[in-house]
Amino acid sequence: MRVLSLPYEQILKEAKNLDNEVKQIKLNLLKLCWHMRGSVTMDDMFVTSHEDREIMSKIVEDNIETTKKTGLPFF
Amino acid sequence: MSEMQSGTPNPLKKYFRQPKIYIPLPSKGNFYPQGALDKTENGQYPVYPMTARDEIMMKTPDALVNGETTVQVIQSCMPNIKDAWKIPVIDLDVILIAIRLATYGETMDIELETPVTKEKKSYELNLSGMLDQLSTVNYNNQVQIDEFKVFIKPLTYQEFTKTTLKTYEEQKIFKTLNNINLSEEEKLVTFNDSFKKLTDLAIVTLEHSILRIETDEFSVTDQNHIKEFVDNSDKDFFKKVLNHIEAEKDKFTIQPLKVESTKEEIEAGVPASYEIPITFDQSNFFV
Repeated sequence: MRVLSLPYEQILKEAKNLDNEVKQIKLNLLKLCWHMRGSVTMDDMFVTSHEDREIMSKIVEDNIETTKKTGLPFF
Repeated sequence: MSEMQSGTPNPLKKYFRQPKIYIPLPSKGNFYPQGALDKTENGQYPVYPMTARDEIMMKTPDALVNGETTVQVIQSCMPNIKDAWKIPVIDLDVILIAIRLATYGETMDIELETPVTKEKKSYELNLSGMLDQLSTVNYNNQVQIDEFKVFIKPLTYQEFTKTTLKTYEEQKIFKTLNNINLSEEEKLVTFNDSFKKLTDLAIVTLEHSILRIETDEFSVTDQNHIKEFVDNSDKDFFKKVLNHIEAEKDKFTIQPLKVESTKEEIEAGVPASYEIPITFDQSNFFV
């Protein structure tokens, strides 16, 4: 509601910022779907919490690290 | 996951999350119309973290302005609340802080500006402390004015949103009045009309806040009778009820942050200690 008291240009800027943040969230969700190799659908990802996604990201990071160390193919 | 086995989306999916915290409501579950709140035995209500879908909702500009986002997210994160439009506003801050805490953790960074030097600083707020402060406040819904005992209720989120939007619209008219091509007389008419609407809004808000008026002889709950009484009562009565409503509202305001200045800041002219009001906005509340 506070955004309404801002000048018009500032409201547009805020709306654009929010739009970019939404795109970033969707990008992160899709990246996690890809890294989970099909075990999680986008629909599943939409109902995960921030904490769940942090844990998943940690698993992905660990797996990438293990792949690097072992020299196994990643793709 | 489940869909891969059965091939159809699992309707129970929204129940997969676990509650992160349990909170008491400042209203103690009072003032909710029937069906709006599924009351618990112990007065503690589960709060679930926001899902990615909720976070996206929180970043939808139009829905944010008309209050729809807040309603959807509250109903998603506090399933005991069946109709979030009917939440008494005294519960609103506690609910939003609890959802923020359940989703992102106990602390929240806010940016402040040091007086005099205007230096920007970041402070870490403890949301648990705020919840404790707000959850223990009691709402006094009675005020004695002469022979009348007036029972009040906090506005619902729906009434609050409507009032705020209408106030904003009228204030916008005030602001733009000087810039549009109207004669002084026309401007005055528009100004008076807008001013009257704002006054009427304050009266309607007061009428919505009165639940019942009692004397030794009778008790009135009929909203039309209360409206007629308020419209015809003297200024003092109106003012006393309004003061009581304001005082109760203030009890649920978050205490300002007390900041101690450093030696260097004091030398630069900053007061040794100062208070900064805590306000939550979209940029810091739901990161």
